[in-house]
Amino acid sequence: MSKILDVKDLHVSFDTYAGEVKAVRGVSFYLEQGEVLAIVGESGCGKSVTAQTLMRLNPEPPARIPYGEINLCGHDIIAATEKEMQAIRGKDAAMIFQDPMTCLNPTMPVGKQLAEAIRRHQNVSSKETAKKVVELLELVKIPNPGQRARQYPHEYSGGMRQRAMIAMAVICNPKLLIADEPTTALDVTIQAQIMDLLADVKEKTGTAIILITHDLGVVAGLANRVAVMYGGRIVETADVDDIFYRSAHPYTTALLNSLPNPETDRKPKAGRDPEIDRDTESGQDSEIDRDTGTDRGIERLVSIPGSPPDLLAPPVGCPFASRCNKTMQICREKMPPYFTVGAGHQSACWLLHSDCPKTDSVN
Amino acid sequence: MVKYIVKRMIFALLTISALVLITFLMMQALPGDPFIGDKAINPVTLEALYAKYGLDRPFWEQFYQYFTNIFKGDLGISIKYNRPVTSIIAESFPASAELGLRSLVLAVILGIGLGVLAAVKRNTRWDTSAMLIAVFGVSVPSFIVGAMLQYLLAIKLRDWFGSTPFPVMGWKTEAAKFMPALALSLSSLATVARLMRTSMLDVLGQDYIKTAKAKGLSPAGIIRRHAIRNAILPVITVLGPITATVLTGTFVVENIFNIPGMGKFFVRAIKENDYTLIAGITIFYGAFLIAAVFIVDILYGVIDPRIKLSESKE
Amino acid sequence: MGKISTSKKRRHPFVPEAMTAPDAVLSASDFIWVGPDAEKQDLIARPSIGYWQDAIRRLRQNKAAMVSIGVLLFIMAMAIIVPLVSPYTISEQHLTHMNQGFFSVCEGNDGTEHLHIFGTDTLGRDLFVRTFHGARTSLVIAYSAVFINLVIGVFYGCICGYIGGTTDLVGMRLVEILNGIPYLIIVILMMMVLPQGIWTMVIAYGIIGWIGMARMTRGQILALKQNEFVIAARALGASSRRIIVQHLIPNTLSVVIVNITLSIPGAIFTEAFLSYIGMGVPIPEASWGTLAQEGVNYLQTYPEQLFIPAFFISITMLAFNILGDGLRDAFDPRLRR
Repeated sequence: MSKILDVKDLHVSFDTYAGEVKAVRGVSFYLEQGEVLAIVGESGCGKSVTAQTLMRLNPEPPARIPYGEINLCGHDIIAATEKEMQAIRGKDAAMIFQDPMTCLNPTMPVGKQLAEAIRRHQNVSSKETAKKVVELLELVKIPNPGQRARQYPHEYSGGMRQRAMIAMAVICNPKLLIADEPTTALDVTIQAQIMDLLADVKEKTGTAIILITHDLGVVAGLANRVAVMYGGRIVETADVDDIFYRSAHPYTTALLNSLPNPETDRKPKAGRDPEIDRDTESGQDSEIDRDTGTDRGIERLVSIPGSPPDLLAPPVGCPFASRCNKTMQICREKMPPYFTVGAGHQSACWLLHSDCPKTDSVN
Repeated sequence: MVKYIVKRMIFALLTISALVLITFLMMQALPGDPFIGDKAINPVTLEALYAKYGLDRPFWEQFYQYFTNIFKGDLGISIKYNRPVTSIIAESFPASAELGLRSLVLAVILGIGLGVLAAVKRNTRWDTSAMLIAVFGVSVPSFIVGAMLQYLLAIKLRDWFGSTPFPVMGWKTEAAKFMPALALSLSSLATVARLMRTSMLDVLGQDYIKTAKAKGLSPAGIIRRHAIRNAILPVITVLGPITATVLTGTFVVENIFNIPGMGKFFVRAIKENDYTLIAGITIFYGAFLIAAVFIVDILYGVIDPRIKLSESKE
Repeated sequence: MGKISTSKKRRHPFVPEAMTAPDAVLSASDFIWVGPDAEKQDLIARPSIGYWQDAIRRLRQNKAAMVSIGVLLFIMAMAIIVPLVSPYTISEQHLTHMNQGFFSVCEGNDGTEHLHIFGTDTLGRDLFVRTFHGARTSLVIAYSAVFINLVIGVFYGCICGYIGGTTDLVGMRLVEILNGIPYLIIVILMMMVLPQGIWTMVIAYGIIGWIGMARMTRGQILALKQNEFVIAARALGASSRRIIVQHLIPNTLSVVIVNITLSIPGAIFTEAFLSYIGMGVPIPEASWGTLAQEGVNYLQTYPEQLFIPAFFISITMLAFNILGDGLRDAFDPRLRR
């Protein structure tokens, strides 16, 4: 398999009145054909900025790419002119956004909006275009597509609009589909349908997908690999199973602990350090609570105290240091490098350093 | 849709009725008497005159008479000109309407263009100059602009070059019609431009613009196909008030440029205490505006597919 | 969407930080546990500034608005001072010095010299004192009219918005009907019924101009009423009067201030308009509108007689508009940084 996307040491900054906001600070990842990569992180961690930079959708200025490399299907995205980007957008890479309610033009029929992409990138007759539109609406399981194509977005439900967005994105058979929080704005019942649809579309069109989400829960079913972002950096990247069962970074672990666990009686996994669970819970009786809770089959969700770092003045050390309960002196002083934990599993945490004392002996 | 239109229509009729009532009350409350003026009139003649114009009957009867007459299209007889008010309006309205229409078209087209330019080239010199024009437009009254244009285009150009296509006054040539239309349109043009800029900036920040960009459309294509149409909608809502501003402005502009329109008659009627003419023009003018706003309301519903006209907006 | 500048020199050679990790320099002390940084955790990055402070600070940064304030203060000061100290009255005629230009010095019959800064009009009256007396008239009319609008409009809007229900429905329908009638028509009708004069103009404008203010206040109150702090106040047993005075009005204030500033030019315009069509203050009183109306007759021969009042009308309206825009931006919470 060949890499269709290769991102190396990407930096993105926004020049604001308050100063330079370093939204993305050295992010590297790659994507192979037909692969699904999930980028996970809380709001403001830089995941959406990263995604939009792949298509150069951030308005420049204020956005700026101080350095980095992006190679998308052989195109040098950083060096591309706006004209060249227009030819790439929608054809090689397409994107769907968070809120389907606002992402469709309210005064244009849905079918016409779908057709725009074809008209822009392919030289086909209007008859064929119309046929293709109906075909795609059918692919995303919109009932009665011929009639629906003539309707306006406000006549669609939220889930249907997101389906239409997906159809619009894949209409020119892009090699890469970027889904930026595709289910966040939707009802929980619809979320699963959209994820199934994405899997289905991937199956049928063979497109690779970058799935941006803050919800680790939606990742499990679809993603092959996961990159966890925090404070403008990727802190851990691994295969989806490794992330869930062998996470090596305290932030990933904390994220996992904030998820409801359907297998309530399962033992804490290797990566899930009991230390964290205990310390992040408040009050001295938390330990007992936790233990008895688990015994009774009730699991407590654990939140991460504090808020993400201010990217106007990002910390010199590990971005998570101020919230991590395992912070060491070095964490505040030096940015941790990536340590290889397993095959394709890298984590940026000083705990993994060979000089670091065993986790248990800390504190 | 039908329900909405009917509702709007009832409102328009109520407003017109209120206007008629107010006008009537004002006329009743007017100090002085149209017939007691310069020369003494003997009581018998006065009574005959009262009877002729129905001024001797009780208040409500007069109002009822007045009201029904208006809906029959009878606005009474001008006291000074001694001819039906409707015929004066019929004679003078075309010039006013033409002037109004010319400035309205100028205001909307130039205003939208200026607003789009300012929004697309936001925070550049284009934006600054467009908004400078706009703030001047709302700040300088039309009669001043009119006088300035007269001075510059008609008087000064002639002084400098010996001749000018712009006459100081008149309503004959295209050049003569251009000056009052421009003077009249400037404030509305400014309103449209400012609104269009705000609206355009709002639309350009919308997610569907990002969607269009992600599709690979060019900036020009995005603006043409997606932004302008959506940004224009709020502008349509001010078309009603703008029509009002423009038509009101005709009152003074017609006097400056000596245009034989309704405004000229109106101002003359004020000076001559010709009450029936004032009342007639007021009512006609008010009704015309109310009808214009009504049409704009309906138009808005037709253009914006989101507005289900079955539900009232407010 | 601007031109994207791309240059290869901006890119630095790709060296992943993982490869540069210097194992050697680390010592055991680096790995001493220090725990999360409680101070930093909830630190809000930017210092919080009060709403009004912030608004004033941002208004100060707006150069155009500050210049406008300066211009307005200057005109107001001149309007107060000039008629007080001027050697001429507004109706005093110098029949030998008619239609003089700027800074004309004329010798009077008694041998003293007269300086007419703005020259004289066609009746030989000093235009400098007339212009600033006109400023008095126009500004008094504008301020009073807007004040009436403010009182009626805010009161009406508060009542409709706060009580809601049938009161609101009836109140707003009435406003809608009145709003359908072009206000200048009503003002003209009022002017015809009442005797000519300053206060007639104020009443005529005030009687119809409050509608916009009422609608806006009502909208604000309706939106605010849904806010938690109002519900909380009610739950704590605060009276309606207290809620309106203590909670609703202060929160409407910024919008009201902007609205007032932007409606003053409208009032100035109305005065000028009415004077212009011959319904202004009676002679020999001067207002900017009447001065402009008198001046327009001599446009071909003495254009400055129109241009002086026209300049002051325009510059005042312009200053109020710019100031209003500046205030709106300053109060806009979306523009807070």
